[in-house]
Amino acid sequence: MSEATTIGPNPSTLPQEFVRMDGAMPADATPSQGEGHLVEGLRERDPAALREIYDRFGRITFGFLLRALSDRGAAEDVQQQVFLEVWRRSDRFDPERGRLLTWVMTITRSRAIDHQRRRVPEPIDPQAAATTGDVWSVGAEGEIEALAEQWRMRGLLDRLPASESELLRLRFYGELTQSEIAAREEIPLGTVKTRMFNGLQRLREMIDEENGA
Amino acid sequence: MREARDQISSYLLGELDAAEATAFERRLDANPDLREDVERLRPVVSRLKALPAEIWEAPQPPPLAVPEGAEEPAREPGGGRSRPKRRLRLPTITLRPAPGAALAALLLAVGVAGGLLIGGNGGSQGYGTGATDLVLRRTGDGAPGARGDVFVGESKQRATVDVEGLEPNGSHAFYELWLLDDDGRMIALGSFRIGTDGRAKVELPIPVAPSRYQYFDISLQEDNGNPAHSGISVLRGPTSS
Repeated sequence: MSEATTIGPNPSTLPQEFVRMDGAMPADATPSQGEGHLVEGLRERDPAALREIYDRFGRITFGFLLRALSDRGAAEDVQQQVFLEVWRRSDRFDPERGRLLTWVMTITRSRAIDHQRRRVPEPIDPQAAATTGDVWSVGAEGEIEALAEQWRMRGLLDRLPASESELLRLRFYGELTQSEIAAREEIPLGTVKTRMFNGLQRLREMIDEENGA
Repeated sequence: MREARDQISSYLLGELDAAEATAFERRLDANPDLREDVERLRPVVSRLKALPAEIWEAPQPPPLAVPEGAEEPAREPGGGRSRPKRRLRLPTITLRPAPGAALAALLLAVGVAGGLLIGGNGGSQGYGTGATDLVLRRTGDGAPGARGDVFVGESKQRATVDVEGLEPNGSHAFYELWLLDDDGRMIALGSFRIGTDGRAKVELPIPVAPSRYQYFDISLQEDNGNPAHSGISVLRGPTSS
């Protein structure tokens, strides 16, 4: 499968290496493997569990950190801090209260905010310090929260079956209509519509699940 | 049922023509269950539409530094952190080549943000009993001959940074002095430039007690308006001798 970075948002410029969904598209795979073994692995101090969690969510947390911190070096450092914390504090994760993605993103968001608070130049005047801190906390933290939500959505997309997530990518990133997708991928329009509906429906269910609904 | 589902996605995606959309909305008015399905999915479509390109293009993350038993990483003699496989907490320590436009930067040092440039015949003065002379050592991929000292005055309110062997920062970068510690706390103390002779001697105010932090750190910063530590540390030393 080619990398998403080769995809252009303009349908007329979509490169041929764009992920194709052939007519013989495989049946929907299991969208998300269970998380129980990961949680158990963390608690047993198994680095393989951490690696798998990193494989699942590392791209999402790093993308979020890059945007939130606007500094690649800082993003790389905070990224490592986040997964060290995942490793160290795995006993605090309660599967009853949410999915791993939400927990990891909560840690990531918190560490990003901590980082930004520290990086505000330290004013010498204590009164100025208080003012600067207030300004930052009202504006930037709200933006970080919104950004984290967007990346959490990406995490949910990654849990969809490939046939559905790629179709959504073609529609919302590639800006192709369902008819254009059907023609491009050489699959019936009805199949595209069904998968589109199923993908949207599944996303909605995952959002509800993440929100504890 | 399938026909209705197909219509839902087409409707929410704005792919029905005017007549089809009107007809479908009439169906919604007559069928509360169908409307509920539509309204459940509408915010999902809205969120997907609002996702910026970068979300779809999620970048490749750096390799994971797997903790080995979650113990703390090894430290270099003198309090510095070794070049670990895992980089935890402290900024990345790499030195980018200085930009080529170094000729423009002939000043030995320019204090910024309250920093005070001290001339070549000056130097720290009045550091009597209680003053501290701290050694900064090269860290990361910095210039091989880089070294420096931080003189903290008796009052602990000002420090004089004396460095040599650093690469000229060029016109789009500068160096910055920090206080930081292992758990990532840090504050910026001030910025300065390095000219072609690689030296600078700068006096800077210290707004907090250095002992509250573990290291003095000098970073190379890009002039990009970002106040954050660049992650490119070139010199570092403990805050106590």
